[in-house]
Amino acid sequence: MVDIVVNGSTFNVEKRGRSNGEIELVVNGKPVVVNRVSSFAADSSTQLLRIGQRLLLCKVADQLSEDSIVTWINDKRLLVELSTGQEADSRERASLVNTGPISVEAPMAGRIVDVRVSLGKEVQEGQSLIILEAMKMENEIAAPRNGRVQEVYVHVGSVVKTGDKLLVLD
Amino acid sequence: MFRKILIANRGEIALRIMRTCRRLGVNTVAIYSEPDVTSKHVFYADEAYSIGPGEPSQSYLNIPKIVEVGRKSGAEGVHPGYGFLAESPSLAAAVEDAGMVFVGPRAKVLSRIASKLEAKKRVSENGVPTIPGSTKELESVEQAEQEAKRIGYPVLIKAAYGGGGRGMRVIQKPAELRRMIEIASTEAKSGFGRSGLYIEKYLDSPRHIEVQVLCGSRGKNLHLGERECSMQRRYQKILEETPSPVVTPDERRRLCRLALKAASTFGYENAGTVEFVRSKAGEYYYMELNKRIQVEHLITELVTRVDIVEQQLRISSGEGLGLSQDEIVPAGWAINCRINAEDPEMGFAPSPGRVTKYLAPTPQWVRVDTALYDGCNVPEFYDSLIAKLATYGSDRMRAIEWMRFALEEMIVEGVKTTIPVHKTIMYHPSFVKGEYHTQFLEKILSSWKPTSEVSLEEIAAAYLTAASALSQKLVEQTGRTGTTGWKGSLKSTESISKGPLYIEGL
Repeated sequence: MVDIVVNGSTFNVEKRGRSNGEIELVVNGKPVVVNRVSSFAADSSTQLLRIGQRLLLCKVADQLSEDSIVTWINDKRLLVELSTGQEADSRERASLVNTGPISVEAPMAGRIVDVRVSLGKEVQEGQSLIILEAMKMENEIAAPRNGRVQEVYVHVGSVVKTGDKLLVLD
Repeated sequence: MFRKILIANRGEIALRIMRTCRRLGVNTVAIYSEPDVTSKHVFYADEAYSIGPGEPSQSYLNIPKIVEVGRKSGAEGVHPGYGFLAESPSLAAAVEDAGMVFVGPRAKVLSRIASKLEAKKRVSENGVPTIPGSTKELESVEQAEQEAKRIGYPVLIKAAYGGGGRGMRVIQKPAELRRMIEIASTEAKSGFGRSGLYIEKYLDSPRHIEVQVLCGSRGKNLHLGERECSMQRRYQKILEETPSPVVTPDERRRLCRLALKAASTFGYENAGTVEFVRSKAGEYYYMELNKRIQVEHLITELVTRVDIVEQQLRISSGEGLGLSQDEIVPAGWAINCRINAEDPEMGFAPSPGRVTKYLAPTPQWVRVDTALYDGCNVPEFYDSLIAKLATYGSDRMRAIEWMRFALEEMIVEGVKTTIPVHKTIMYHPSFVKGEYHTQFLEKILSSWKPTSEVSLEEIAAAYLTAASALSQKLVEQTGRTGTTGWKGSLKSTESISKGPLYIEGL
């Protein structure tokens, strides 16, 4: 059983078995029988599948990482991520145990129009720290958790790029 | 007609203006800021000049620089597009002083309409209904309290020189007034350089309906019908359609007459848009006159078959408006979806960056105005509008149906966009019935999630494609048969080493 994330939505896929070139899958609890059209000759990144009366031309458009690709399924372009439940769990656990200083980074490029905290100040999770202007909009950057402001790297008027450190909470 | 004009803008609107120029044999001059050196409008122009760093104040708002490029390149006219300096009397004056023509109203006409409050007063004196409110800029909180009491709560505070919802606040009860005036005044000052405010009656669930006008010289004025612009988020239009689903033929005649009357109040020239609000009871009130070509002009072009930019150039070059009112016979229905580089799942946060993939939708009856291409850059300095996706139908439902297909086909990767929001709107029963107002979208968005229209068959196919591609990759990388790496669940491996994997790999 494996979780598959397609364009941001999660589906559950189970492989039941295979016989005479037929693959039996269970998608979100519903059986789906797939036949590969073997007479279809193409490169290794393309295959033709028949599911019921429907033909699906499946292409790998782009490989993004070890477990995510972009595919064309007929005229639909889908971002597909494969993952197992365990992986997400461990990621979640990792984020919980992280209690050291945390740096707050610019989520997008832009210009700092307000710095609402100063060195040494205690802040609450969700409290507004910095206002970043991008694309004519003002964006609030909030504290990811409670903490004390240890470093401030920017001032009003600073121009920042995505990922630039703005400040550090201890 | 002009031989050469400078387009004092960027991105999709610069490109759209240049297309009409190219068709008419008018040479084009582009200006660009440093981060825009790879913007499509730069490649499309006959000549292109760098005018400074990304900050708008140092490039697209730099009047002396723009005029200098215009003069140096031998341009006869300057088209400002929308946004930036589009309604700036200073640019118009500088262009005129340099011996060129501003494609829009002349500087003296623009200054006449610079204050929204002053304009409202004059229009009202000319017999066009306006929303009840103060006739002077507010001078004190006490005066605001008196005015608010006179017209009755809720009231709206507006910036006299503003636009786009900045410096605008709704006030439900007297206790909020003082604080809101302070906020609005600060916003107006920082946004528009002038803090002047005025007060108006606030209408509940109004519709925003506007009329496109074309005003030639010698008072030859005509209208191109209305546009419905009530689908908004925080006073920003998200989607427009024409005609409006609520305007009856009788109402339309009255509305368009009012629009022409408003325009003639100022001796208006060139293309303009008169914005009205329509109350629940069906009364129209003049809101403002926009002195430029607008973002959503394309839907009017689709139903009237008039090239508005061509008419702007004809009026400004002295050739004259090439149309009469009888020749304008709108037919069918058009809808425009604004595709913005914003992340609707993160409160519409801006999403600038590199567009790694762009595919234009190609169903019948589609028009896309955009400067997007594979690998283009969406700079963080400018407006988030990256494409306008419009469809045409012989009736409203057909236009909606084509839009559903078009949204499905349009691919923009690398930046987040508002495409998923438009998909939701296109299927929403109230929108399909044409029943919506300016507060409608925010109600939908309060509980919004993107919907996936992927069938189980497609999921199955996607899974098999991904699994074989990824496991094949693993073999290529490690030379192993994939027994270790593959996440437990995709274990069966015997044929992995045997070459082409397809789904046998599983």
